[in-house]
Amino acid sequence: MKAVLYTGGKPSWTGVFGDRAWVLLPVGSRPLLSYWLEFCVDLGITEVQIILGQAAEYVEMFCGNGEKWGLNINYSLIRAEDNPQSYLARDADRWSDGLLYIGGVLFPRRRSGFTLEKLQSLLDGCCVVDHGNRPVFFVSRDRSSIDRFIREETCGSTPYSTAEAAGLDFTCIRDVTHYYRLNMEIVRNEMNRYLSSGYSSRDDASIGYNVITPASVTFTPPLAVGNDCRIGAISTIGPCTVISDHVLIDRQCELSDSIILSDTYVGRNLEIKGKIVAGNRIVDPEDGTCLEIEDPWLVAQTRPRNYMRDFLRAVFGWNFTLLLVVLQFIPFIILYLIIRLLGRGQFVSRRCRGIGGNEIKVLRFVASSPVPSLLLMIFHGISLDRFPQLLRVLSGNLWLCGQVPKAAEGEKMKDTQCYFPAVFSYSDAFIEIDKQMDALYYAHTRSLAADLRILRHALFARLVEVEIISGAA
Amino acid sequence: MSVACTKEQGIGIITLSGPLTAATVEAFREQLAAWQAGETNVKNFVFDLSAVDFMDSAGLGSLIAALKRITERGGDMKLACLQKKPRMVFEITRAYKVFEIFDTVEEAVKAAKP
Repeated sequence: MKAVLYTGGKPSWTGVFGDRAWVLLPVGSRPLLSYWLEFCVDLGITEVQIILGQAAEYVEMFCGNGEKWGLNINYSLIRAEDNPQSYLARDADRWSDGLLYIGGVLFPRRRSGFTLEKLQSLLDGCCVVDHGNRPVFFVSRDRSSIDRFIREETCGSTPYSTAEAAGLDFTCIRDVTHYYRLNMEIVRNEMNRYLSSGYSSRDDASIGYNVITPASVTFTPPLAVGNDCRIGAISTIGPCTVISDHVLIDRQCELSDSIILSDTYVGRNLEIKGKIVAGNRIVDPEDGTCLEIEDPWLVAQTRPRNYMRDFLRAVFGWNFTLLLVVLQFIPFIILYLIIRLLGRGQFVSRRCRGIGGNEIKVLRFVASSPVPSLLLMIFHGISLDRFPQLLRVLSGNLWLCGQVPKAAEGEKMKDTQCYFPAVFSYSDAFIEIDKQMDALYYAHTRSLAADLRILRHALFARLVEVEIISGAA
Repeated sequence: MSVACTKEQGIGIITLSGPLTAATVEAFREQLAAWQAGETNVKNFVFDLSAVDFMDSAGLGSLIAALKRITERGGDMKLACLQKKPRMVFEITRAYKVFEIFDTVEEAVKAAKP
């Protein structure tokens, strides 16, 4: 028996969430597609064909080769004018020993009496249509039923088993309100029906792996948090909150009765109640109102690695650095000579991690007196104390804008995908910062515009700042 | 962004139209300041936001700055007729805790009376 999962044909109501893949929308703590794949596993199916459509690369990235589920997943694309049945019809013999087809926003909701034994009754044949009478679910081992399903593109009149008998309720999600309410119902009462063996839902909280939370975060169940999330200090999460994968919640946030979709940043000190947040969009689930926010400090879409964007940043950074070096060279020589002659400060060498996690030496200026003098204020204000670090940008060891370089301790860093050590960072631009959160924020929202913003704020802030790094500090 | 300023029962009625964003806050500030300079005896204000269809953090910041200036002079500021999308910005930023918001201008004027 083989499974065909159709991920194309974007339902119109999912448009408010932007261009993200609708099959990866979270239901409970996991994407809808993961329930489909588990469904295949529960029915004993190992061969899965995923028909890709919108946001194909994200679907492929999520599923991989299926090894995670013990499945063998293959992918195919169909022409825009084709429907899934015409794809099935092209190679009808391939499905002769049994077919499971899922092709709509269908959630296989487990009833309270659900068991894996009951589920097997579905193999006798079952078909479900959506609100437009289009088949969204079909399963059968009977060749004639399969042929009729493919040929007629309808459920036909074949006697089928029912979802009720299998302990299921096939829920076709029809709009944003329905989607929101389904999530809330699941997180409130039904999370334990979808737990993998070995897991417990005793505390009504489902937390994924690699979720980093300081001790000051308050979790108020019921709630579900996906994988690879970071939650800032003094935040309150829950009750009735669904957080998907790769989400950053900044400090002092309050989230309740809400869904945060994957790859989303929620800014500092925000209160999200009864909303769906999808990147920079905030959706009111009751009436579908969508507010698109352009200010990345409130809510933002975090993005995967984009080589063209990094290339542009590198080209801009290198050229701007060259300009700064040319402009600063003579003032630096003159002022630093005077500072050294007067004994007001000097550069000291510190080991840190540069681009690629390599250990480099960076010169940092240390004033000999904690009392700021006019000379030191000018030296600091026009960023001459960063002159040696700018040379590191020209030699390719640092970025111009990015994160504060990490101190070199122990072995070489393993994960450098999100590491952008730089001369200027958000800590230069803004007084009140959380270095760890800002480093993550930068890694996920970096762009040429973000770099310009840092430069503008950093260079200006340093001009007006009077604090000089003292020898004691 | 257009700003229409009138006086009703001794209360300044500031009617804003259009999006209140980083691109328009300067015009809003200037027009409000110019009107306030000519009407120094007006202390209490009602901001009619029924025609403000969008607001960002800069727009919100300009309203907070206006509130600060008005309260520093011993006056009061009320908001009226907040549309759905600006209301969402007020909700997520907790600004609704800072302002008194009314459904109609009449209710706001009534509350703003000394």
